[in-house]
Amino acid sequence: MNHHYKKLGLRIPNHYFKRSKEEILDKINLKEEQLTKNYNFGYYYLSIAAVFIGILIFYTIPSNNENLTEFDTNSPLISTLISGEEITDEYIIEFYSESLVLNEINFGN
Amino acid sequence: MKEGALLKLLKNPASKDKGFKLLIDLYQEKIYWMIRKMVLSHDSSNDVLQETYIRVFKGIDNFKEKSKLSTWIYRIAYNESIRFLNKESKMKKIELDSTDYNYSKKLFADTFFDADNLSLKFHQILSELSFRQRNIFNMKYFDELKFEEIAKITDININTVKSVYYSVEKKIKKEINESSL
Repeated sequence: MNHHYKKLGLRIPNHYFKRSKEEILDKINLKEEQLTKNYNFGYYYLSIAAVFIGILIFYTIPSNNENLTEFDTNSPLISTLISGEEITDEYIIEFYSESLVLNEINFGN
Repeated sequence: MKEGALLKLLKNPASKDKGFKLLIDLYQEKIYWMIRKMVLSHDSSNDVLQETYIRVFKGIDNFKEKSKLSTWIYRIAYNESIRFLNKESKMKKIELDSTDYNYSKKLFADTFFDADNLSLKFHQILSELSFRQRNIFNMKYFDELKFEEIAKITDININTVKSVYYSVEKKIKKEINESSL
């Protein structure tokens, strides 16, 4: 005991600091366990959310890709890109007149 | 053990627990006595001490080493004590420049207080001081902290700390001498 007791009359229980150290360590271990539990709980929710997002992506992305890949290969621009031919005025006129005829036929059906 | 080596242990996850046990051994008593002189009752001091170490454990990874490790721990303990006193007084905030009207009441209510003439005289003088004056005096006289450390812990200008301490020391010496005549 030091001058806190001599001059101020402040006492502490026997073996207080030893017991206090143990209590502090116990509390810290308890808090750490709680933190780990909370983390595991959070991890569980995160996993479910990840699976849910994965399913959403799985069902939405393919349909989007289909939309993206649905283009008219007969269009003058696309067909020239595919074939490497040069776009001429004659080619465009021919394409649209052909489409017009085909539409007429389809409409007739 | 030097603070640098202790910090290395504390910052490494593999040795943090070992370092923390050493940290308790090193500062527990000093921190307890600083808290005890602020909150007065042993049971309350025990609660504040535990809360201080829990905060130290949680915050050690973010300790920026802008001050000494011991100063940082003292500062946490000081703030924890003020937080406790604010809660206890049920007031919005402790007035640092006012005296604690419940000082004697709290002291005599504690079972771990033995009153004799000298201690009663000391406490009578301390109870007449403001919260700020009392803390500065206690930290320098009993806890033997340096003025610079006290300034950092309490967030008070070092020159103010010095002038407060010397004026309180003079007052206490005078009153003790007068009472022993």
